[in-house]
Amino acid sequence: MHGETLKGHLDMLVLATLTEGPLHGYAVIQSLRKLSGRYFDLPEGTVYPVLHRLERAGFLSSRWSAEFGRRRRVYQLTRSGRAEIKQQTAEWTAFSRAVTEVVGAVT
Amino acid sequence: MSEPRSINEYCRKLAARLPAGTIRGARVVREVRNHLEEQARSLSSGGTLTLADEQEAIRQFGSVDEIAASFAAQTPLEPENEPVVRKMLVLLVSASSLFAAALLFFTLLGGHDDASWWTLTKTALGVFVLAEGGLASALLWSDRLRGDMPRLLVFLAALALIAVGSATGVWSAHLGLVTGDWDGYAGAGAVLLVLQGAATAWLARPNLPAKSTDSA
Repeated sequence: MHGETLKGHLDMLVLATLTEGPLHGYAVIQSLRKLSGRYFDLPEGTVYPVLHRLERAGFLSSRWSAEFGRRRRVYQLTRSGRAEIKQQTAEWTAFSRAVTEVVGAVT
Repeated sequence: MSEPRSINEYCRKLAARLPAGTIRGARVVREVRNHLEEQARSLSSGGTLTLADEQEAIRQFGSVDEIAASFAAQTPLEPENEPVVRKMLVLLVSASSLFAAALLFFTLLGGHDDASWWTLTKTALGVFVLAEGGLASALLWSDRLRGDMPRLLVFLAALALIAVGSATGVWSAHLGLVTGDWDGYAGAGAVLLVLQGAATAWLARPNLPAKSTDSA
């Protein structure tokens, strides 16, 4: 997928990776790669500004967590983050269904 | 700009590109360092990290220019003194709200010896100070005021509070000079209102376009 196209959906993808539970930035990127079968392969650093922006918007909260002697910043969805991902998922599902039907009719 | 050759160098360059002395800037650098070290370890075949592992981790992460520009464009880092101003604003709002509540109490429930316009002025002042304190509190504790329009409303209300505080100060100074009766409460209240207005206006200041950091 073209990088610019992916960036347009990065908020939804990052929020989606956090629906299962809190993750640190590195794990968010690994999860994105794994769940997409390495289809989403952005420069890793682009995820951190997104995490910070989503936190500032109130969709995520974060805290330092010590794991195996290492301190990591762990992010988790807030209540409004859960509502946001629910809404974005519904919009995306409707959009992709419509696109599939149009493209399917052409091919 | 030549790309950093080690994680230490990368973090040093990134720190230099983020706004100096910001709490979130320091946090970003620590998160990035953790990420790079973790990625370099996962790339390392042996137990010890090599410079090649660090360089590959840096390559996969993205250039300092890209990351700094992305932060500047998406989520500008707030200055370090913002948390201090927030705490100060809590104290100022508490004090001014008490001041306004006392003013309203004595104006509305006390004797009505004053002229009606003066009673009306004091009542309006008390209500306005309480309302502005409410807006400032909402700015501090609610994410709903993060949008541009609500912030602008709070910003304008804060400017109005500065004007009201200044007018109160000038009026009490004028009375003091003319009558020799210096009203310390009015003077203190005026200073309080100006400080609260300034702190609120600073926190609610409109987002200015970030300076371009793209050196390409």
